Amino acid sequence: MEVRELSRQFSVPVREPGVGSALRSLVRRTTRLVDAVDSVTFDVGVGEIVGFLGPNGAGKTTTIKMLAGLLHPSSGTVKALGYTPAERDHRYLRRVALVMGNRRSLAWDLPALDSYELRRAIYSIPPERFRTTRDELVDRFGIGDLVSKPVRNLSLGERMKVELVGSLLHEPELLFLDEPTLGLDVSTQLQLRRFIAEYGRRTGASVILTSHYMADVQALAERVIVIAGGRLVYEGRFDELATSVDSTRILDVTLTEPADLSTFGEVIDVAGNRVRLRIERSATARTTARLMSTFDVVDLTVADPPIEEVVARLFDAGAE
Amino acid sequence: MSITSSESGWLRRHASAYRAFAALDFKSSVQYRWPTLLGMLALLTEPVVYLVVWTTVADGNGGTIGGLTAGQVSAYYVVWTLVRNLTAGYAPMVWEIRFRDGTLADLLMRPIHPVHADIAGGYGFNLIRAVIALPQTVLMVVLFQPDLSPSLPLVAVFVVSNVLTYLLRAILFCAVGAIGFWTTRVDAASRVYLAFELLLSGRLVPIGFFPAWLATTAAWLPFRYTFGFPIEVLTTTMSTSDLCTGLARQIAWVVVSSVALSVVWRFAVRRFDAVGV
Repeated sequence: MEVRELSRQFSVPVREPGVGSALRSLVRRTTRLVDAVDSVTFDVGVGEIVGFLGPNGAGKTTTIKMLAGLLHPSSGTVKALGYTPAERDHRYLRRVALVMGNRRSLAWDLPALDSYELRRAIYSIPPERFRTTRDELVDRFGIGDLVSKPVRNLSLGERMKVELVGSLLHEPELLFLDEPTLGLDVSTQLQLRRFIAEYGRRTGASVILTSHYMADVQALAERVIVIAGGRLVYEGRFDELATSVDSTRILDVTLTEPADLSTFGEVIDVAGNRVRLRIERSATARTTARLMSTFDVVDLTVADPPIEEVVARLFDAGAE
Repeated sequence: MSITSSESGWLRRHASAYRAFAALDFKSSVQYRWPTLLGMLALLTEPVVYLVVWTTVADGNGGTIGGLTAGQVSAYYVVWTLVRNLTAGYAPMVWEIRFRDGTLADLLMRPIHPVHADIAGGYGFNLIRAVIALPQTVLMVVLFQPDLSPSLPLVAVFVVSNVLTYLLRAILFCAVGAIGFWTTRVDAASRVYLAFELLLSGRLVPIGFFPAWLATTAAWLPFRYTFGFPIEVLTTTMSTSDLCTGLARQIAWVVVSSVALSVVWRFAVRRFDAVGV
């Protein structure tokens, strides 16, 4: 998939609160153009799992909707599986799936099996292949007893599982997952992650994932794209995110007695004899050596800053 | 003219999808059997009220109104009930719900136009209505003694016309629903459309009761072909030429509305902003 200079603007109505303003807006509307996505460029390879990270309103979902063909870009181009998604060619739509964690696509009052049958028909899946794929997916997810219950009687986690199975019946080559683990318990989140990773490996499908849960992206995506304020602020391997964005490291030192370590770095936390310092990455060896020679050190650990902290810093920088 | 393999593939795919949409909505309607049954009983009140009003007017008018006897007025509303039940579809208001709750996003991600889901789904829903409509019609025949004795060919024309009525209605509903791509809210446009349909289709008043100028206008608008025409086929005396003209106009409206929907749709989906999805 090739994404070049992709942008999307929305015209948002704005007005002051109050009755007078509401009446004025009857004759004269004021709107503001908002750049939801601003000149985003990236590629996604075949079989690659890419994670989209970004704060609320960053443009992740808007981007994913443009890639899926649901939204028309204001400018820029997208080429996916040889198609332009905005043209909404049925041959493209047959080869992709968009799963949104907060939306339902299965008939609410009927068992999921009935909706699966509908998908077989609209995606023209040969009956034999449909049965094999359905049974395999149902088995892998362990939802054999859920698919014959009306969807409305399922819990959120159960519903998400049957929704995901439904979206994969036509074995999409391009899978868009927008917050698939939203509101799910930890165990279901883990199960879903394992399932998505396995689906990607087994079918060679490309997966594009957005999530607020860092663990989702960390567990699934080899490559991460960070969007903030509609702009792409980082693209690269997840494990290189901390080193490329943050030039500091965190030092946890436990001494035999309390001491002032403020001359060694920025003191973040003190708990008894344990001190947490932020130091420059380049000074790691020098600082640890000085600490060891100056104090009676019981324990010392060096780590990258927490990934949430790194990403939050990236979000803030991008939004400015 | 021969059908190419890609066309036959298209037809096969769509036929299969139509069966599946119809089956799904039939199952949904069966799932909610009591609301379906109660809704249909409520539907019975509308033609009964019209029937009682117009037969009373006819009786007070020397036995006829607009050229119809009281028995023919009864026949009109008996067939009315049948047509109403067999041509019900997804009203444009449904589109407002789709815009608001985000289900439209799912419909748009399918490799088939949403109008097909509405046409086939509504048909599936009407299957259960058809089953219940039969005893309803029999009850009305017993109660109101309609003057109704159609020939077999007329029944065949009625069936064809009923299918075209259903198709035209579903396409127009979808076209009105597509206004939501510009306005998000469809309710007002839907009410305006349904008001025109109520007045000009022969649903509220048989078109035969209209003054000549209004009847001529109605004949050129699509609304008559979304309700009144199949009723007229069975309940009025129409020449073969009138029947053929009526059917031709129905087909023309189906074609025109399909083309119009296709053009509007092309612009509409470009405006979709998936708000709240």
